[in-house]
Amino acid sequence: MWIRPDLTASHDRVWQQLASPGTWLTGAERVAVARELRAADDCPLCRERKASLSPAAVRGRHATVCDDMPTARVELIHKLVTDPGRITRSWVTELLASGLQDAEYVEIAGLVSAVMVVDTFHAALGLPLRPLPDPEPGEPTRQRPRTAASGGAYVPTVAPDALADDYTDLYDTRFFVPNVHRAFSLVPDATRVANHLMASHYFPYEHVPRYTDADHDHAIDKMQMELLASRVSMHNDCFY
Amino acid sequence: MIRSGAGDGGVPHGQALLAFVDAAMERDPGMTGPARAALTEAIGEAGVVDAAAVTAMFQLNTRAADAAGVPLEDGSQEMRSRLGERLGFEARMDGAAP
Repeated sequence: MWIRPDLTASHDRVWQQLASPGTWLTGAERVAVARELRAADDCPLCRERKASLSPAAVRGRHATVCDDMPTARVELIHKLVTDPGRITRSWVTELLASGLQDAEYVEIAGLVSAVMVVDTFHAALGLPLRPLPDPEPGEPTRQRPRTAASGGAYVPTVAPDALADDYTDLYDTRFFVPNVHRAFSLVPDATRVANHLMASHYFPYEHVPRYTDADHDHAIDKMQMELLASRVSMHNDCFY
Repeated sequence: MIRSGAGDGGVPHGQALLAFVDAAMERDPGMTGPARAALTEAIGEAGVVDAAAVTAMFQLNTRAADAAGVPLEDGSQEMRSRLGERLGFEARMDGAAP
């Protein structure tokens, strides 16, 4: 099976950055996130919560493969993998109150989401999942965008008119910037990885509202791509 | 049609595409193999790779929106409201289609 090189390159980038020290997590902590997310589907607590009308009422401990991972990180990873559509502001507030930093939350959410792109692609095509990389040594940068601010989301984001310093590249401000593009901007590198994945798998965020079949050479057309996207959104109960 | 059902939504090879996504989301090799074979028959191998790419990408986009809780844009809300009114969704307390 022939895979477009731009797809493979974007997967390579996810894996390379997964192993490297991030903004708030070390390389070892980032690889542990990936290991844990692959185990979440087999977690009995997650299954019980997913089947419940009131997931918060179901108490218990997650079945984790990373025994030394903080509880709040495990909760975030498992929820984001197994029941993302029922993430609420109060759930996020509770996680942050338990000691998880907002930027750490965003970095983990970005990692889970990016690794799931790579894993889903491989699984859909019947390819073996990529082995997780060996973590690289080093310390996180701990750099927070100084212009990130509350914009109505659960976590601060960088507004399109607030790009500054070394993160002026996040959006294409010649066009309308959809709010989903701002989601991970508290950790600019997470947004950059999402940008690379979007450009190879679908379209750059700012092109999505106005692309036509004349703008791409994909082997499926716009109606087919939108049908696929909508069905994934349905599976994940995404409000957006 | 998006929620369930066996239609194709008026989209070429829509049934095969939906079966492919459903199988991919279940991550069950017993489902993905036959669904992939049927889609390959319908649109060819390059189409299947692109379908896998779009399916995979929306694993990120949906989680980005839900994890960050980004608000829906005003324009999107208005469009959805208009569509709901047109389809009669607003006529029922629970929002179900008539």
